[in-house]
Amino acid sequence: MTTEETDNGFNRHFREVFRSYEADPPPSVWNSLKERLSEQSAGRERWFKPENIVDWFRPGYRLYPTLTIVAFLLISLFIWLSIRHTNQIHGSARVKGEELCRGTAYLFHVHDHQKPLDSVMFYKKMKLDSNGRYTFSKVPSGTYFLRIHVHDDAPGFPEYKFGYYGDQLYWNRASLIHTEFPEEDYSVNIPKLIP
Amino acid sequence: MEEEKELIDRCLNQDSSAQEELYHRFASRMYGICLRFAGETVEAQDLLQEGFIKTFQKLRSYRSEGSFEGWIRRIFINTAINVKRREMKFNVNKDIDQDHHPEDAGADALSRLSQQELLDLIHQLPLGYRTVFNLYVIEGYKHREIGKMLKISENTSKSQLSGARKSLRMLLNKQGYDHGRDR
Repeated sequence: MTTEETDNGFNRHFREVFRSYEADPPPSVWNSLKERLSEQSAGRERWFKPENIVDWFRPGYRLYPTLTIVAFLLISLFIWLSIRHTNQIHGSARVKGEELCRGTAYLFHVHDHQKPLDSVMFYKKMKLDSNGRYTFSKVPSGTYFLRIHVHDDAPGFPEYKFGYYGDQLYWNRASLIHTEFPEEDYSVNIPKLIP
Repeated sequence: MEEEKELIDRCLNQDSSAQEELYHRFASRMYGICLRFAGETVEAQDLLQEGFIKTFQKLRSYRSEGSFEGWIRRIFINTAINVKRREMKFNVNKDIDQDHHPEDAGADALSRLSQQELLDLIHQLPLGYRTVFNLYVIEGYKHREIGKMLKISENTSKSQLSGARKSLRMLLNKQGYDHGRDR
């Protein structure tokens, strides 16, 4: 008898004996399985009943799914809050080509893109620094107007009083700032008042 | 077939009488598998319970493709593997082909043993040998498939099978069922 034949015979014998091998388990197996199944079923019912919501927070009772959901919601909230305020609008203001060191930048939020002039609301203001620069941080996503006011003790006043982003004198001609399409710099050259 | 589908639907609706019917329909066949994979009876009973819990949990994913018994059988085999995975140690034999001993006890000797005696022999195998032997010889899986299931290489699976056969022959020889006496 060759090795191969021995092995084949060996395997075949075990396969024939055990492939359809059956044995009766003791009744205790079904009894404890039945208990486990009814516990699971009861647990599932309790889980979906809103009146049992207090049970979810009991130690050891559905704690993990509850904690998972709470953790997921907290993480989502954190991410949403972080993303919500990541925009920055910055630039400088100039009068006759010189930095305007005495002035104020005003940011107005536009709520309706279709009717920007009817839906504009003041959002924030800040004084220009000594280099004529301003930076609005953590600005919520959206559309904005930017207006620069020249202080009455600044060089060029009163011929140069105010101006909008887009180097315009009036806001119906001003350029809008869209945070979803950010630009490097939102600088303004204050235009001369028309006499 | 229709009756089986109806039984599955009832189980999905948490009908306890249907769960009991399904259990009794497959329990003895699945217990046979558990007895082969487990080292002892109590362990096999735990496996049987665990396998049915998994079956009821996964019942929704049964797509009526292939036989239902085959589907349950796979769940039980996977359960047995997963439960024992941590305990499994696969010592690779030096040479896979070295341990063929045609002069040792073979198929003739086996035919003289009862089913219970053969099962006792399987139980005496180390866990790794026993699992690969069950999967290859009885369940008919290929070494490549066994490798994937147990997360081992194909060669390790071959080596485990070879080791299992060698051990079984040694056990048979020890019990006086050697090839020579058979003839």
